[in-house]
Formats: sequence, C-alpha cells, structure tokens
Amino acid sequence: MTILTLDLGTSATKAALWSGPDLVSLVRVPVETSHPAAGHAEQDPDDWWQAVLEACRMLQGQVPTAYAQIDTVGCSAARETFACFDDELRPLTPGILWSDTRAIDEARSLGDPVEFRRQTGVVLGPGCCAAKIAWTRAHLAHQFRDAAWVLAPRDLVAAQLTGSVRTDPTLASRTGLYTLRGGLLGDPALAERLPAVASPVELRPVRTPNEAGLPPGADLILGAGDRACETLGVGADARTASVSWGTTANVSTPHPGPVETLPSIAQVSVGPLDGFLVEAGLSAAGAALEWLGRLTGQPPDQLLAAAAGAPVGANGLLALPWLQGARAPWWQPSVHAAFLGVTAAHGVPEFARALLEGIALDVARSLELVAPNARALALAGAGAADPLWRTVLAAVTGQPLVRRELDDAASAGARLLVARARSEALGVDDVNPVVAREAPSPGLAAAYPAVRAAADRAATMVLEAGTPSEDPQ
Amino acid sequence: MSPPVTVGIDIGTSSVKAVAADEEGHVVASARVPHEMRVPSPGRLEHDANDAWRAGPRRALAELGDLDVRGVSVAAMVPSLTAVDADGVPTQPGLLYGDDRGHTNVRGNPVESGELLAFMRWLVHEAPNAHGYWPAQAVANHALGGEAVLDTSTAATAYPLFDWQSWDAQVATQLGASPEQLPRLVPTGFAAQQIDGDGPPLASGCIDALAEQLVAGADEDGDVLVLLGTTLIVWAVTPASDPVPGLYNLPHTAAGKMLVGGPSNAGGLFCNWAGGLLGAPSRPVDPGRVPVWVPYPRGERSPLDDPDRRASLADLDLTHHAASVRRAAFEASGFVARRILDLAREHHGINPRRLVASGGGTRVDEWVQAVADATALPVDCVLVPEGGALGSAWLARIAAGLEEPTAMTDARRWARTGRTVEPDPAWLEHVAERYERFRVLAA
Repeated sequence: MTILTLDLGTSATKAALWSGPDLVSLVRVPVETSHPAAGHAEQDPDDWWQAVLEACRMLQGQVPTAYAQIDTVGCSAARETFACFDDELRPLTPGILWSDTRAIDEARSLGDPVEFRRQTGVVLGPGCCAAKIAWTRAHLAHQFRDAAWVLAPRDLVAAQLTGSVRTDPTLASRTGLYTLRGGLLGDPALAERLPAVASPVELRPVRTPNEAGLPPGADLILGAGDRACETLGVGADARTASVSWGTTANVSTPHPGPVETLPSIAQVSVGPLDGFLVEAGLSAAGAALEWLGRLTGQPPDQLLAAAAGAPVGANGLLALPWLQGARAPWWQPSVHAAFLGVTAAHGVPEFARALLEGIALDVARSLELVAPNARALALAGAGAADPLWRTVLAAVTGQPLVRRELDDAASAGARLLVARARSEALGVDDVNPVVAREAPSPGLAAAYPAVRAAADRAATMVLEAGTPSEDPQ
Repeated sequence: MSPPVTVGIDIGTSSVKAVAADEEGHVVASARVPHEMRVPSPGRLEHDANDAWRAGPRRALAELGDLDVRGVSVAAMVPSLTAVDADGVPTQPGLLYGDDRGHTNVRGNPVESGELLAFMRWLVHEAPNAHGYWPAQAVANHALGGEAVLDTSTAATAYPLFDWQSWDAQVATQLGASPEQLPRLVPTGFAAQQIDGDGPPLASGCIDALAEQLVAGADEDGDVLVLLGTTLIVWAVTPASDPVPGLYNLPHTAAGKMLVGGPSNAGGLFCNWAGGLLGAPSRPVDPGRVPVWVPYPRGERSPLDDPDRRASLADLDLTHHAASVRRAAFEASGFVARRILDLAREHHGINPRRLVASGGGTRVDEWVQAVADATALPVDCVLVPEGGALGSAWLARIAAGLEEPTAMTDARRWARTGRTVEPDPAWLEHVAERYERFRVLAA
C-alpha cells in the first residue's frame, strides 16, 4: 500500500507519503492567517486548496515513483474552521478560523450554554462554529444567500479531489450544529448548505485526472478531525492522555460513552471510529512563543534556549498565556494574557520561561478536569521535540511522558484510519513507534506546587479583573 | 568673546549636562557628557562616582568652550552618596535613588524615608574611615572649587541628619560618621567658593527637580509640571495646603502657591527597561489595540508608596507587537500622572488645564504624546529640556550677584515653550478605557 495523508492544520498543510507502515516523506506548506480586526482570525479559502496542491507537488518532486503508486488518500482536518462556497466550490467569504472570537452576540442568541453544551458537547462561546455561521448569516447575508455550501478546509479539498461534497462525524460534531447523537439542529436554510455526513473510513474514488496529479484508481477517505487523528496517532487511551503542543495546546482523551456517561465539562465530540473524544483546548502555545519572538525580536528557538537558562518559576514572573483568550480550563475567552509579578530583575529569558510554565500549568489543570485517571501523557505536536517543554510539562503535571517517532501525530492517525478502511492489520506501534519515555525530575516536580499556587492566585486576580470594555465586537 | 553668561551643570542619571545662558536665559552653549548607569545586580543602581560626579562636571564645563562665565551652579538627582578619600576622589560606587541599599522600613516623603541615611550606613560599613561621605553635588563642587560644599535643599534629603540648620552630630554618630566627614553647608542659591579658587563664583548647588521647576513656568493654578526624566515627577500647582493621601504637598517657588504631586518610578527608568525587552518596532500602532502596563517593576512611589509592588502587563493578545507594547509603557507613564492629578482634583478641587513638561523625555515624541493622550491635556514642552541645568544657571546668577538674592521666583522670566503637543482625538476614547483598566489592574 502507498498512502498519502493530508493534515490540514491551522498554520500549515502537511502531506506525508507512506509505504505500508513506514513514513517515506513529509512536507509542510505554511498557510497564512490574518487578523483584520481584534478577535478576527481569517484565511483565504483558496489557500486551503492551493496549499494541498503545493504540498503534493513537493512530494511528487521528492519521491516521484512512490507518488505515482498512491492508492489511498486519508485526511486529518482542522475543525471549526469554515467558509461559504458557491456550487463550483469558489469561496464567497473569508475562511473564518476556529480561533476567531467575533461571534459574541450570536453566541448569546444560541440559548443557554449549559443546555447547548449538554446537547452538542460544544462549549458555547464567541468562538463556537455555530455562532460564527450565525454571524456570517447576519453580516455577510448576500454571500450566505448565494452560497451552495458551508465547508471546512478538508471538506473543500475532499470535494475537489472526489467531486463529492461530504463531511465526517468528528467535524460535524464540533460545529455545534449537531447533537452528540447525530441529530441536526440547524434550520432548513442552513441544513441545505451543509455537506452530508459520511463515515471517516468510507472509500471514494479520486477524480481522474485531478489537479494534484494523483494516479488513476486512487481512493480517498475523509478521515477525521485533527484532534481525533492525533489521539489515534499517539495511542491515547483511558490511562494515557494526549497532550499536544501546536499552534495551541490541547489535552484529549478517548471516552467509550455512551452519551449519558460523558463528563459535563470540556468539549466532547464524536470519536473517529467509536465512542467519543473529551478534550480541553487551551489558548496559544506555539503561537504564543512565536508572538513573544516577534515582540522581543528573538526567534522561538533562541527564546527556548534562554528560557532553559532561567530558574524554575522564572524568578517569580508568572504568565497567564491566554493570547487567544482564556480557553480550557477557564472558558472565559474574553479575558486575555498577562504577565504578573514583573520586576526589573526579569528579562526576556524569564518572560519566555514563564510563558512555557504558564502553558504547562494550564495543561495540568486541564488534565485534572478531563483525564483525572491518566497515568501517562502521550506527546503530540511540534512542541514534543523541545526538551525544555518536555521537562517542564513532566514536572508540572507529575506525569511520565511517552514520545513517539512522529510528533505530527495527526498524520499517523490519518494513516491508521486508512488502515481501517483497507482492513490492514496495523496498530499505532507499527506506524508510530515509541521512541522515548521520560519521568518527571523529582527536584523540579517538588518545586512546581509553589509556582502553581502563585499562578492560581494570579489567574483568579486577572479573571476577577474581568475584560476590557473594548473587547472584540 | 561671548556675552556674559552663567553656567548651570546638572548631573543626571545618564549624563552630565551643562548650559551657558545669557541674561535673558538664551542658551549660548551647551554640552553633554554621558556616563553609565550601572546595574550590577537587579536591585542596584549606581554611578562610577569618579567618572559621573567628579570628572563629568569638569569636562562638561570645559566643553562649553571659551566663555565669559560669571557664575556656576551644580544640580544633581537626589538622594545620591559616595565615600571619598582625602583628595575628594570617590573610593566607592555612587549610590543612586532607588538602589535597594537605600531601602528602609520607613515610607513616605523621600525627605523622610531615610534612603540617604541608609546609603550612609552602607558606605560607613564598606569604607569606615573614609575622608568624607558626600552627595554628587558636593563631589562636583569639590572638583570644581576645591571644597566639598552642599546646598541646604539637597541636605534636606538627609533629614534628620540635617536638622534644617546644620548636621546633627548625634545622628551622625549613630550612623558611624562624624559631621567632619560631611560637606560644608551653604544655603541654596548662595555663592560658596570660586571655580579653581580664583575663578567665577560657584554656588552651593541644588536638587535637579527644584532647579527644573524654577524655569519651567508652571506657576499658575491649573498648571501641572511634569518632569520626564529617569524618575517621573508630577507637580500640580494648587492653592491648598491640606495633605492628600499618597501625595506630597510642598511650597512652590512661586509665591503663595503650593505643589501637590510627587515622584513615580514610571519614568525613563521604566520606559527604557520595558523597551529593552522589545525588538525593533516595525508597524504603526492601532489606537484600540494596545495592552496595559502596570509600570512598577521597581515598586512605586507616589501615590502607592510601596517599594515591593510589582509590574504586570495585561490584556495581551496575538495582535500586539513591539510598537504596541512600547506604546503601552509610555501610556502607563501617562496613567500614573493622570492618577496623581485625579487625586489632587479629588482633594484640592484643582482643575488642570495644561501640562508643562521638562526633562530629557520631552525629546521622546511618543512619550509626550502618550502623556497628552492619557491625561487628555495639552503638553507644553519647555524650549530647553535641560531644565535642571538652565535653572542652575539662574541660581548661578543669584550667586554671582546678577539677580537679587530673593529673586528665586523671577526665574520664570526664562520659561519658554518649545512646542505644544495636543491629545490626539483618535486615541482619547481608547486610552480612557485603558486608564480604567489600569485603575483595576493596579488596584
């Protein structure tokens, strides 16, 4: 089997070529995000498709023979990101990202958040996809009226490749438009613009010819949401929570269900194969480090090196890393990031270290909420490659870490879904073997409870200070 | 040959400035001799006193060139102190205001906080048999005239060692020193000796902020003097003399007027430190997208009077960049000024109508604009930002007998506005909202 996986992430599209269980090549094409107004985060939907084509061209250039043998394409997909398209799949609106928090009023109009959460599993806030679709209907009414489709980036790419416009349950389940049992909540005007929900592992033929240069006879599976793929790709289970450091940080754990037994906090969505996914999506992680890099004029790798030289607790400097709003475990997205306890003794190394520690502290708090039974953490995302992040994470959470070969675990998860579709006998250890286990350093682990206590007080203070009145409209 | 001039020298945090002014206060020549502000560890702020206090003033005077100098006076920041040998050469670092070697448990007016006495205690411990323990003015006066003289306004920062008349021998003994190790006292504005023994008169000296105030022209009700220096100092002119919690209320040099306000750490020291964290600003700042600095990385003086207070930077999101965080630092400086004015308004019913800004910070357009926006008041920047030096040149006129000995307040004759910076209407609403955030976050 020769397999192409497409991981449509927020900051980059990653295309990987697999020969059987082995990764042959992985390429990335960055996708640009703009912030045209406070709280707005947008992409050009044309970039979603162009980035895939560019990634395919790169793979084709690198491994032309293998590329010509691709028999299956599987996807991992960013969720809660959408744009409106006409019936020829031309974009009518900007792509509105999951991180966009413009829909403050619309979220309020969607009813009681507790009931909404109970029904859909989605935390209702200004970043909720259903609220942003409502915003689009109100503010871009003409475009919505002319739209044939409201699609996620993966839905667009799959439609371009197969001619069939569909989505999968893991993506549908995160929009807030469906109940956890799969029932659609939208009105008819919306319902007719939504793609049909199909199985993540259903094979559909890729069109011949196609712009991506895929060989005749190749099939495509929709695959699943990035988080669902990632938990598969790191082998997360009831005792091993997945902790991901990408643009944002995330804590996820599979849950067998049924619906009545799901936790009443955090986001819950339908799992890729069976059961459900419970997850706490934190604020900025990689994006926070890049932001600090732009602010200080020091690239992120330099910041991390500097942070490694600063002491545990950053000499009393505390960071609440809520650059995209206080998401899990606080769910107060209108409250933003802060550095506290700053003295003239602090410099860029302490700011960087405090930021990293602040993210690890939010991970620890989130773990206690969504995966209280976890006894190990499976690492995913680009941050897994950083030794300082691993050391701090293990010490702050007190949990041993499991690292696998491929930190881009969503690609490994998409590969495993293809295995399911093709009835291959492959498990996570075949496609993404464990490469390291790391226990918390006892000395560091003993030092962090005091930092945590100080950070808890700081968080309470900032949350009580509320939000600026000029919050994104 | 130049017209007759007097020379004012101001020992500042980052340089010694000297100006030579004619009878009408026009600057005929000026000089700036930079020196290093050393921060050997985070809580310490010091000068190489030999460089900054002894050599600097002589060099600055020399750099003014060949002038018909009729008098000289030296001002410096307060408090400052070093230990010297028999030649008047400093043997210890020059300790500066804000250095934690000056921390005491006493809070309040800097005159009474004992910072200078704590400096002396430290220096007596480090150099027990020093020939003398001298503030910057005395070191400079010794270098210029041969004798360590100190003016009484500067000496007042050593209360109760200075009892408003002379050095108190008992207090000196308690500190492990004797009055012989302290400079000779001469009232502010009086001639004390001559340059090089036979040159023009050298006045006793002055506190920098006091000299700056003399020539700023902020003398009417509704005027507010803002000194944009390493320390931010805000003085609102007020007719009232009742105390305002957290603020100082001192007699103005203008007759019948008082000043209410005080010093804050949210001056150049904070703005430069905050700026040092940032990369090069590359983009314009959106008025609505600026975070909020609570500017107390070295604690705060007026009105909080809390050396242990810490700074914070809040309301940050991914759209903020170096220029917006830099702007936030300058705004924070303005917020501190506004809060002092709000307190003065609340207690004294003052109605500020303009700020008069002096100090090197008036050259930093972003800072002045942010202060105008934060206070919603126009800022008249003085024509000569080296107000401490210009005011000293006026004191030199008095010492030289060119003005009446009582002519301290006539110095306003020299006050000139260089430019006026108006609040920017496009920013006012946003900045006012951030001021409210500052009030909440700094509470």
